[in-house]
Amino acid sequence: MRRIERHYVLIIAGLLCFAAAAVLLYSFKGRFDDGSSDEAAMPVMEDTIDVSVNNGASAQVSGVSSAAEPAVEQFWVVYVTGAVKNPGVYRIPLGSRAYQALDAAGGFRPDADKEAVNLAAMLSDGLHVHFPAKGEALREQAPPQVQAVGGTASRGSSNARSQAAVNINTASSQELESLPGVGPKTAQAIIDYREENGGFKRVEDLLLVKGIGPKKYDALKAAVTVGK
Amino acid sequence: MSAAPAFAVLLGMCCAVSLRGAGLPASAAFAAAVLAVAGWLLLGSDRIVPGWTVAFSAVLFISAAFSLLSLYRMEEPKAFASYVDTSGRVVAKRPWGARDAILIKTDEGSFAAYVGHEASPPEGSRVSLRGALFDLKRARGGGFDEFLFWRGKGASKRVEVLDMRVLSAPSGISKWRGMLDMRIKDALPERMAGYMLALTVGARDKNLTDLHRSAGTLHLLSVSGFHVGILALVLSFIFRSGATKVACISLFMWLYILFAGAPAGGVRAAVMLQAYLLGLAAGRPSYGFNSVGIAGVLMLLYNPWCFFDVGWRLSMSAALFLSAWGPFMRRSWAHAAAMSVLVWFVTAPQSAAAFDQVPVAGLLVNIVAIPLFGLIFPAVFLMSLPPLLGLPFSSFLSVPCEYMLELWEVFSNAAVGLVPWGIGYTALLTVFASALASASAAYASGFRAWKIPFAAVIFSAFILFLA
Repeated sequence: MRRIERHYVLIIAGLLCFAAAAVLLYSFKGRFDDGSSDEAAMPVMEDTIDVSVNNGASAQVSGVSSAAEPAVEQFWVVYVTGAVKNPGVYRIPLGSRAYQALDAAGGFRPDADKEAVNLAAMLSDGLHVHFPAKGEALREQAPPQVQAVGGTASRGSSNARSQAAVNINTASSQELESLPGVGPKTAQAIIDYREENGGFKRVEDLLLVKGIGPKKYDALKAAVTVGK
Repeated sequence: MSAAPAFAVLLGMCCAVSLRGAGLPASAAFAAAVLAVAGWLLLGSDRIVPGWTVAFSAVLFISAAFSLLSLYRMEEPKAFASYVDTSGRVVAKRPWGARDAILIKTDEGSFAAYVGHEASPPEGSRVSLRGALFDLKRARGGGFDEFLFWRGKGASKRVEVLDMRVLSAPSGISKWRGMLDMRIKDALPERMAGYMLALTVGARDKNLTDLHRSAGTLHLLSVSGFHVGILALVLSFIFRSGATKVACISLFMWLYILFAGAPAGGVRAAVMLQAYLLGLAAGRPSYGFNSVGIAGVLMLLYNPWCFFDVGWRLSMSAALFLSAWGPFMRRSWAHAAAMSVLVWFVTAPQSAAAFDQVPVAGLLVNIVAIPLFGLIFPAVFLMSLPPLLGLPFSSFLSVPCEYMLELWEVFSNAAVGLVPWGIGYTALLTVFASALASASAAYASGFRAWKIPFAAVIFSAFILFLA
């Protein structure tokens, strides 16, 4: 009798485990494949996002974005480095500006260059915000479009280049045709791409436009920007 | 539990990886995997005997640890620049429509690239690479999933090549693979060349691929357990004594797998056979079903993303099913033929999902093709040697072999003409396949007969849930 009881105990325990697994899976049903989890599974891609404002003083910000659209979260996550009391990764409220990231990181260190950063600059999710120290050489950004969109490598020249660069997210067909190697057909292809895909996230996305190959891309990459 | 502990570990890892791949958070995927393994072990146990608790805890712990490790490896927080200017080696190359797909391994990671034939560097060559990195595309609602395909092969990103130059010619095994590939194409007639390329360097001729795909025998062109088994069988006749036999078979088998480009199915078969050989050398013959489990566990530990490689999945599910019914198959040709039919059902949903359709002709053709190619492949190999070595009058030897292959082509086309239908992916087929597979796994894991339907129902529901 006892043997039979034990026998059933094992079966019932096994079925309970399966039931618990089923409940667990069921509780996540509908949330599979919404992109949020995939995003975590996929390696992230470094990119650079412009957060400069027109007055010239800008936060030196490089962003981390992934291909998938970000999930709707109640906070943004930013990485704060440089002359702050507690550098690190912080959650900040949606719609935050640079000063809120600074507050989260405990404020400036005494050696911080307090005017190097535009504390009113608008942030976005996944940014890397760097507050330089006094006399710190400003960072060079790898992709060429970064200088064009307002990195702080050289404030004066950066702004000058920014004005010269064509914003491929807003430019008209005529403006696009002023770029080297871009005729009416390619200009239309660029406009079609940004309309279908919600804009260019980075200059390299031009390679995804029909008619733009490596040679054409190399010729026009320095003359374009993706803007804000 | 005592019959096939490696299968229980594999089950947990597969649950964790598949759920994570389907989008479940890692913590939930891990918890579900541990619960599934615990449920499997408890359901499969008859009673608590001395040592049961230790064995149960050990298997559950190993399964949990390996699942956690696999999930961790899937989550590697690796950041990539949007642009690379580096150098690396072309580790794989295959035709990709009008272009070639190549896998380039660099210090900054492995990247997939699609390049034109004329710009495509030879496999094994060292190249300089400048290009923009893009995320691999996910398939939403079916279709080819570029992300899972390339992650299974080790690539993290797709690179849009701006400039690529060959720095040095292929070396090592890649160089030998390239030389053999060219020699086969030069010295052998069309059909023999196609089969020899598939057999030796793992390359696929387009005409042969079309022929075998329409007949449902494409697996014959992918180096896997069938090919490794033939090689081991031939070698076991040559090397007789114990330790030398094990060492020589192991050596030649791994050389062969490397030469064939280390395909997922081939590596799985080699690991499984290695486990069997080591058991033989140690005087403890291993259980085939458990050996397949060990092979699967090791491969998932090496690269958890290989779970999403359709070749790996087809190879694992076929091998698990056939090894589960090994003793039954050996009874007679009729039993073996029945297993050939059933294994078609087990793999059909995965094939249909990957290739849109699975030909019904495969049900019948495989019954004949598998034993027949057990003879055809060694014959093609032997008949190819004289022409490859450049011996005089050797082209005459190729003629009968070419006729034999043409005859197969006629038979295969006739069978496809008789049964020209294909089956797409359906829920019913999936339920049947998963019930069959899980019932077989339960049988091979030592479940009592009356418990097997429980396992079949539970795992069919799980697969349906994921599908």
